[in-house]
Amino acid sequence: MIKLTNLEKVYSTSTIETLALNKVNLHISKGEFVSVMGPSGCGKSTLLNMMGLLDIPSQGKVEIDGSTVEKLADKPMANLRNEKIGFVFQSYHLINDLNVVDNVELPLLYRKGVSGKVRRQKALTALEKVGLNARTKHYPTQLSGGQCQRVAIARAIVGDPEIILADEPTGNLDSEMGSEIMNILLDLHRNGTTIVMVTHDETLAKLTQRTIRLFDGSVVN
Amino acid sequence: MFKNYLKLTLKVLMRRKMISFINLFGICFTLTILLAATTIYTLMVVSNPIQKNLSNTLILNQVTFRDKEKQSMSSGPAMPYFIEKCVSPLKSEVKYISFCSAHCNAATIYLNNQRIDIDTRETDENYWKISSFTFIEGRPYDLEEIRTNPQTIVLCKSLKDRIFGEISVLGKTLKLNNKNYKIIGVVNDVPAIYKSAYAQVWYPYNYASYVSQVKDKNFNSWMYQVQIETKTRGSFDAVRKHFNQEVAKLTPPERFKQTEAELESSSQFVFKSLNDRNQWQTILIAFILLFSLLPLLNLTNLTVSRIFERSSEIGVRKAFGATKRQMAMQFVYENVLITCLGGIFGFIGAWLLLKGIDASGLIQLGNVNFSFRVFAYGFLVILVFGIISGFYPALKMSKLQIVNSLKGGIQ
Ligand SMILES: Nc1ncnc2c1ncn2[C@@H]1O[C@H](COP(=O)(O)OP(=O)(O)OP(=O)(O)O)[C@@H](O)[C@H]1O
Ligand SMILES: [Mg+2]
Repeated sequence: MIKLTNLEKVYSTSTIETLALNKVNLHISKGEFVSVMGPSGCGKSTLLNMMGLLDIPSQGKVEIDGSTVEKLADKPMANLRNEKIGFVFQSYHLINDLNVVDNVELPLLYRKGVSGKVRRQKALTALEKVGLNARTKHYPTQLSGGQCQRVAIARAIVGDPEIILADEPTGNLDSEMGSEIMNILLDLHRNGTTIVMVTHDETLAKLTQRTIRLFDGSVVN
Repeated sequence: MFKNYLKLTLKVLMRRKMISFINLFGICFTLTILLAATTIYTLMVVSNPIQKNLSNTLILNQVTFRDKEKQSMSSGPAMPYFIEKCVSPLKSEVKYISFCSAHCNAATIYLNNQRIDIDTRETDENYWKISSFTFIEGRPYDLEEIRTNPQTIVLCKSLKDRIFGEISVLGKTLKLNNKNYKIIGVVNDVPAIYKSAYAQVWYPYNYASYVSQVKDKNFNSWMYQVQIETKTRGSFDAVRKHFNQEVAKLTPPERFKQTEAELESSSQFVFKSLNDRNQWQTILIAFILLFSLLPLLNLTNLTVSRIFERSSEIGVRKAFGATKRQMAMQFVYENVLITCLGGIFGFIGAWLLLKGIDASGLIQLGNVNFSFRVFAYGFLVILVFGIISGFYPALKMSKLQIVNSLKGGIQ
């Protein structure tokens, strides 16, 4: 489903060059649930961004579901993001001008043939899954960190993507809420969704099928 | 999709009340200024209630004689000699030729021992045909009256009311510069910005003097501004060509070799006379022009920064499947919608402003009162700026990698 070949990412500013990813080779199969672990700054978010087509690699190749990403034009790339991928950002990235339910509807807005009614329906279902159906008219600034995180998860799952890329989806939640979210992900996994999750929590990582460990931009075993 | 944009725009407007207010106010203000400026321009250059055919009118404001070495020169408004030699031959090709004093002459009236300074103008009979004065009573003087020189005048209403009150004054006499004149007409007041039409008292030019002056090639006290109403705007070239031929044939006064004179369109006339003013007035005009541009630039700046501020939103939308095109369109639509809203307020604002100006009597708006066309132009200008200021930053932002947009965009 996701294949990374010799992936390299260098962030260069005027003063320093940071090698965030160093010759990463990875293959994640369809339906697999993978966790990514490693110390802060080792490149976990960078790796996820590459998989989610949010940034371009300095070197190497990203393949999603058989298609090589760098060759794609803007529109098919956008379609790929819309239909195949659901992203949960480490810092949520909700749109502050939109209320909770509008935020969750967002991915469906860019999908052809989804009526407003269906959109609203699906968004409410997704919010129910993350236990937030009482807060649909709130704005992100009126929510706690944990609630924002749950909205972000609802937005990622609303479009039934084949791949979910979650950057510390339980980072701001207590263990009870955390395991609830984990249950949602496990549920999606059971239904065939491919999941890559960054986490600092060994117990959650143990629940996944495979753990990838990163250190200084390289995969270690 | 359009419905979503509309909904989003309204949401954004409601969520950011302060910015929205400033933005809408900016559009409204820009429109108002633009509308006021174009209205005044139209009144001065194209058409106003009194000078209906300004855009068809050619004006001869200045004649210059030069010697061969172009060292010495002499210039001023046209003298009778010039009018007879160079302007009169055009008579058959144009609708009207008219002349009047190039500037208003000051005159004094004593009313209950109180001195009143007034602006007077000498005119010919066609002057009343080129401009459409509204006669409250009486009529203008004709050629016959000018020839027999019966000392008649036409008065503006405010002056008449001040001197005589609300009564009919036809046939009454008015003492002007110690001479008695018979009043034969009263017209509505003319605003001073209608350069060639403005005066408070109009009287016939001195026919006998004019005839005797025709032989005098030098500039003297009998000098006139000439207005020529052409049949169509398209005939300007032909009229000018003929005029230039006549000018080339003219024998200049002794010690001069060349004659220069130009038939100016109303816009050339207005803008040249602005140039002729002294320096601080030029600066003032430049300042006003700049001032009217400011809100437009401000608006563009505001829209651009409003979009850059929402860089993370662009990142999020793209991460969930928006194309670059969709992003650019979202902001363009948003700007168009905001512009339309601002346009509605601007329309009301401009209308109130023009009504206010009209009520103050500073400018007579008459039928130019509220021109939809002018408003549409103003609106179009803002719309174009709105589209550019939405499209440009959105395009620039949408070219950014998504992670960079999420982190706050272009720094
Ligand atoms: N835009 C950027 N410009 C320069 N350097 C960057 C940029 N983004 C990330 N980096 C660097 O790349 C490295 C990897 O960053 P990344 O965000 O992937 O770490 P992480 O493993 O997700 O850390 P954390 O667990 O704290 O979220 C870091 O050293 C970081 O400083
Ligand atoms: Mg991270």
